[in-house]
Amino acid sequence: MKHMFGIIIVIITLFVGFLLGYSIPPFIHAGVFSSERAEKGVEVKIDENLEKFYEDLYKDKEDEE
Amino acid sequence: MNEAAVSDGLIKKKLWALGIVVLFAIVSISTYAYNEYYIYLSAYLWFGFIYGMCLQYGRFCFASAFRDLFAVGVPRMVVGIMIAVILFALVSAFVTATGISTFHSSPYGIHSVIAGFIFGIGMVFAGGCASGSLYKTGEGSGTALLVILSISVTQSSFVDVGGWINKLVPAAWHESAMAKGLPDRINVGDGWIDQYLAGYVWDQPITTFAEALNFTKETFFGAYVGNVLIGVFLPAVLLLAVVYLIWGKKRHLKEVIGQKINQMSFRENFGGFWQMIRSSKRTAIAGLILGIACGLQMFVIEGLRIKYGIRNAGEILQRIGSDFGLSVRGTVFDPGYWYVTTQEAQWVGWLMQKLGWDNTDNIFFGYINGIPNPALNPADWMSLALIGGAAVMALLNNEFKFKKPQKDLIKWALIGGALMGIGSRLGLGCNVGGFFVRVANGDPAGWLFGLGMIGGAFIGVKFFNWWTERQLAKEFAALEI
Repeated sequence: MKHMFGIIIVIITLFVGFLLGYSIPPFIHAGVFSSERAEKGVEVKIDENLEKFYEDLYKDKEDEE
Repeated sequence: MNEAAVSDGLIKKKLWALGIVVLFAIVSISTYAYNEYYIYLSAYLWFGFIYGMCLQYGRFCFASAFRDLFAVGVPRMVVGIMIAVILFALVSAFVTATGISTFHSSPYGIHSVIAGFIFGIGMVFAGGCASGSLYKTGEGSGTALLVILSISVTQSSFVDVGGWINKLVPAAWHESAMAKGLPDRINVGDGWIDQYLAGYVWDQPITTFAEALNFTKETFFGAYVGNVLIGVFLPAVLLLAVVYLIWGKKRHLKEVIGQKINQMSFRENFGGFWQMIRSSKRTAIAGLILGIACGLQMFVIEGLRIKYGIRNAGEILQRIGSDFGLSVRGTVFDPGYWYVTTQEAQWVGWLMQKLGWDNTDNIFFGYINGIPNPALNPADWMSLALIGGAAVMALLNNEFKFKKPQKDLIKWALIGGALMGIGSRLGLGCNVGGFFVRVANGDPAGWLFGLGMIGGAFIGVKFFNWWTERQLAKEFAALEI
């Protein structure tokens, strides 16, 4: 019984390990494990230039009006 | 020769166990090879499998726990479950603190207590809670399978019932529901559950213990002090102390010869309390592994969501090429952690739709959870794998046996399952989704559901005892005649 149980545990571990391996890189890319990240959860890093571009777009509309 | 036959039987069971695991492995590998996105469903599958193994190993059943406690004064299972909750909470807090938790708190209020009460009565009648019935199905119990069928059919009907039942909806609920601005397709003004959800439940407060104490829950301090210490550990220890004082103490006294109750010192009482805690090692171990697995599942699901840039499995199904049964928002039920009853409603809802019932004009199916094909429903993969995991564990331990439902138990299975189905929808979850996972994640709605569940279980046990005595009295009277 113990051998069979061990075989089954190995199979489960392989699959769960594969799933974990699939999931870790996205967290790394998102900067979750980075020391710079504040403990606020997964955030999208917004490009500052892009953010200013959209702010200026809004201002342009106001000027036109 | 008898020994050889027994040995052959055991070997066959072990091979069956291996066969089930290999089957799941083949499903995972072949679907992944066909389309990479199936890995999202496989994530649910393998964690469901682990849950099934843990449940069977730990005999993790709330109904059995409270029945043992209230009927015969044995606290072991209840203690085991409470310890499991604490251990699960420790893992959940880590996941919460790192900010990757997929858990969402639920609105809390008196409805949580009422829902738990109805569920508690139902689980005692049925002889198994929602998760307990799943693992017992894995052990071969036909009665448990009937309970699951009853839960499933009741839920999928209950969430769509309208017409005359609308007269039972308070006007305030109706007005509030209509003001929510839901799509016309959902027809929120027709349907008791729709108006209950949109007109009452959604207006109730949502919080966690950490947030209620003004801590930031996505910090280790907030998660461990707010949610675990204050939200889980202290209430659980208080509950265990009550269990010890009412039931555990008497049992401990039997081992202390010649001592009267009022002569036990604090030290002796603490010793008795500690012995009560230690007697539930198996269930506690199961709870710890459940907690770790649930935490890992949250991690994996969130990682896959980030990888594929999605918020919900509905987008995965669309990419696979199946958009049948998605909600109007393109979503399907995708909790990211352990859940039981919602997907049971979904597979019956899907079947009903195939048979011609239009049941997508309600909040449960049409707005939130969808009714995808069960073969493509991640949560259904989890439930099926849970049954498989329990079957594997039972086969390995020589505890598997096909058992036909007994005639006397059929009606209780159906009635109990129906009550559990109603309680689950009112409480937005069962003993797992409504209590176990919520409490472990610091959601006060979980404790309210749990209190109701305990009260309902108590009433259920007392009713069952009365019913059984009445039946016995009738039979004895008939014999005398």
